[in-house]
Amino acid sequence: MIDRRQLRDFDVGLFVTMLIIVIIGVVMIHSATHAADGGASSLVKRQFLWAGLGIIVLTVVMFISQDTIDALAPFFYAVALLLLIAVLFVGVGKTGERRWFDLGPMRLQPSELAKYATIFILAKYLARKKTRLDRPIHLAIPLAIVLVPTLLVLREPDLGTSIIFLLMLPPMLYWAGMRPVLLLIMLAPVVSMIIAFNWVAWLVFVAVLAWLLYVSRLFVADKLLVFVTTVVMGRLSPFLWNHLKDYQRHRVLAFLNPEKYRFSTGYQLIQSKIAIGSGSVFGKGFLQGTQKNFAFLPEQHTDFIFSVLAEEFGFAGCAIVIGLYLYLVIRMLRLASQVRNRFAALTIVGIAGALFVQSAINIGVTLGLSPVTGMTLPLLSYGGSSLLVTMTSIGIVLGMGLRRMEY
Amino acid sequence: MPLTGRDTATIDERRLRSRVLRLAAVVVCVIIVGRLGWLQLIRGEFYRNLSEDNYVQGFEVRAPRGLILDRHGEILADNRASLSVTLSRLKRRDDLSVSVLLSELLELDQALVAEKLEEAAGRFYGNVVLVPDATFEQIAKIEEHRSELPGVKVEVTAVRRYLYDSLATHGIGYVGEVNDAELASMGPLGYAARDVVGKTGAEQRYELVLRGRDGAEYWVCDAVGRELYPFEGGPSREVRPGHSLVLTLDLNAQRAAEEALSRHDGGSVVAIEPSTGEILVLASMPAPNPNEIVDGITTEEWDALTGSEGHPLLNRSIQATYPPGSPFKLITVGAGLETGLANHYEKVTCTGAHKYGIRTFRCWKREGHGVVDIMKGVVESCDVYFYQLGARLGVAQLMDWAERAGIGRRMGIDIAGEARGNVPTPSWYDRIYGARRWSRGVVLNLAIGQGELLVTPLQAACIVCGIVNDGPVHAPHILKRVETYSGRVIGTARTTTTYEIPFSRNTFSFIKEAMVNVVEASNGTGKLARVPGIEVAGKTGTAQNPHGEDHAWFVSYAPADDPQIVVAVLVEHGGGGGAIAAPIAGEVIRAYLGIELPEPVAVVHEEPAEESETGDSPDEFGVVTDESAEPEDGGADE
Repeated sequence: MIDRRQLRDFDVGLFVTMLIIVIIGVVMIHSATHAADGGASSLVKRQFLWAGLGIIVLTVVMFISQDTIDALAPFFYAVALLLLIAVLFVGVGKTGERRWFDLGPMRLQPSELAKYATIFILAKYLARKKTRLDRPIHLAIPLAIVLVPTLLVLREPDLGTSIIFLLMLPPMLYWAGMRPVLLLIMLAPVVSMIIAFNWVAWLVFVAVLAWLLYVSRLFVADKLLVFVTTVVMGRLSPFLWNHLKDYQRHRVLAFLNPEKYRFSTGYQLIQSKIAIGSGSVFGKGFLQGTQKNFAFLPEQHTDFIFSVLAEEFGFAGCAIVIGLYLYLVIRMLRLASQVRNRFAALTIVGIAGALFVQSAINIGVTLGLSPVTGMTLPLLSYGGSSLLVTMTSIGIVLGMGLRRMEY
Repeated sequence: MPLTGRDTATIDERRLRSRVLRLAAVVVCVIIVGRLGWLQLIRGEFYRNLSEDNYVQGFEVRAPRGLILDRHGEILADNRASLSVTLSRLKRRDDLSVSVLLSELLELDQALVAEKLEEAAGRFYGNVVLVPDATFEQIAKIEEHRSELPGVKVEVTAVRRYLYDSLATHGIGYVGEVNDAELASMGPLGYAARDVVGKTGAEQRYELVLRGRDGAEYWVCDAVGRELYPFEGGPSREVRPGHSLVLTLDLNAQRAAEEALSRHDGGSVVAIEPSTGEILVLASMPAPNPNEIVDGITTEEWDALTGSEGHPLLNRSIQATYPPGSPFKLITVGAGLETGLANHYEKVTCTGAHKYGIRTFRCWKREGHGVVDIMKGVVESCDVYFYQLGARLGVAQLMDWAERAGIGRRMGIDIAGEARGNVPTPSWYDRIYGARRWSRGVVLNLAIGQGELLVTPLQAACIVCGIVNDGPVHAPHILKRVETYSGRVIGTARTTTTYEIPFSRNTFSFIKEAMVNVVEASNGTGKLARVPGIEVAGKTGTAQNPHGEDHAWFVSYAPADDPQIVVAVLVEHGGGGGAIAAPIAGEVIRAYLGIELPEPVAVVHEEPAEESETGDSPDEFGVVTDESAEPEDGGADE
């Protein structure tokens, strides 16, 4: 299936960068858990084993042809949706959510799988020759493909992951050839939803949008579609807000005003910022983080592992890790421009987008740039199945890189 | 076979898209790194302090207040251990569950608990007390739910305890939480809200001695508030316990005085060692129980205390003024001897009344004393003798001697609130009633210690000290010495002379001889003050009281040949001084000198009304009319 000539196209930079991030992750997990357990904790060993398993799966996946994935995309998508439905009935979670299947030694998070299944089916749809993307109405099908799993994940509920589903879409649409102007117009309903909480601002916004649409060169039907969608989403927004769970609303409110919620939701944010800020230039040193050691930092080895890194290795360490993630994504995007197969390119862009968006949001949370989402930092956070799935997706990217000359 | 096939976009288009997406990723990363730089590079110091705040917690170590002891080292006030439930600063807390649980366990209002939690959260240093002086039941409940109550601690604190409740409380004083006014003046001395300070008595006067210095400890604590190990870098401070006060009070004498006083409505006993000014007894009854005040007192209870008939908070010994009554005759006679207007040979006939102008002034003994010389005048307290002596002296001269004897000036006791008393000089009468609108006849009343002349029991005792010392009156003081917690003496009160009574040696020896006779002679009015084995000297008195029953006075010293104690007794509404006040002085003297009564005495019953002013006899002050307190115009004449 793969000849030696293709093996030269193996993207060593991408693979090594991934490995470095995983190793840094294991080191940070050791730091985050040693104080609690004394000595090396079992979590480090487990993460190490999962990384090893990840490399094996990654290697195996490289040998799967992109055409096979292309062909199986609808099947993956259907299975993913079924799993997302099933998890709503038999799933477990930390505080009453239904996010995982409990499979004894491991937990399977179907939303992780659905993320990639959705990328495949989107790539498949956008790669079709007859797919057109020159009018807003053409967004309907891609949006529907994304919205179905998004809403199912939202039901679990898992607001953070569902947002990733939505954010994967724009880079793929852009890659598929949608004009940037249309992508920006897509933002109008989103902005409308956020701004709807202030009547005056919202009316001004709608008026400005109406004027912009009026002077634009879109079809009248499209103008109307965009306008109506924006208005409807805006009016729907307070209603949706009221239907959020209490803790979800608190997360947003605490993000806007951490001090007010400093004992509950805001606590994590404040402590994370203290941990990161107190790391200064070079950090407090490996295993020396006081925020971490004295348990002020919550979710140290999972959602807030970046804060541990920042506290112990400072700005220097953080800049290196962010650089590694950026390099990983740039490397994938470069690959996307090199592969000849349109489905493969779109898949790579989707995987790169999902990885980048999740990483940026997780880091943004620790820095107080985003409300708390309860998401892990891919490759770095503790979590076996998440690590395995992420490494598998990189295996797919690497495999497509090997076949970059194939149509 | 490719299902979707080759990308229709040209290689340049794809490169462009890749670059745009990469640029977007770079932009996002720049934002993140920018934020990191802001937090870590620019605000790094700020957050480093915050993180230190987080895991280092300061604890105040309250200095135990110094002990208060009597002159023999008996402990009068110490500190007891009190368990209180406190809240330490804690950042991680599910507010609601902790406050709900706490309010349930301790049966407190949840809003109050929540408020205290909020208060505790804002603190870097020290704890917030939720339940002061918690019961063992409450403590047990807290310990039981320890793991669910992070940051909730049980702390041992020292609370003031007065071992003999109300005993000597007007001298010792009591403590309470600092109030706003005190905070305003004492803030620079390092006092803060909720600190305990002395409110009255020695507790107040020697606040800075008793207080000690609070210590501070810094500990490394984890997020649930467990103290892990001491933090080295903190500004720790060793705690220094307050110094102990050794008072001049004598516990036995004080107790005897208060027991005796408690048989009456109210009154005061002041006993002083004449050679030093050391106050041996400072009793004022009724008295509040300071332990109840310290342990927290409701507004109603406080109002009851301040507003009650008996005025228990009033320190009668130094704050209340009374007409001196017959003891003032000692000064009148001294003035007479000094001016030559009285001598040892002249005799006066007492018929039971004395005419002055159109008014008749009566002697307390209606049938009269017969022929009275100066000695008999003092010993039997013959009013008529003093009427004529007062008339000779005149208001100005008599009041001048009253001032020289010390009435109207502060004695300088080391307790706040001392009153001056009042000396009604001619200019005083002019000021009050208008020039010439008052009768010269007032001097007759003043000569026997009635009228507007006012003294405190402390003044009465001090003046007797002056008589005993042949002049010098030493500043009365309640502090004997200051010791450290471990007993090392670091300061001793010195004897200072406030003023001297300017009588001649002969005058003093006459007064003293007369005072001995008052108690020891068969015709004396103060026989009930006798103490077996020693000679007691004294002077009885009955102060007119326009508001009710007369006040009983007795001033005394003992032993007569080597005076070690001066006692002034005032019993409000007591009636006759000889019957009521004199025995109290005797009891105090016995208690101080350690003299046991040989057998149960029947003194009270022997020779009842015959020679002393018993309760139902008309008393020694001698104005005919009922409204006799107003000397300015003649009442009923004959």
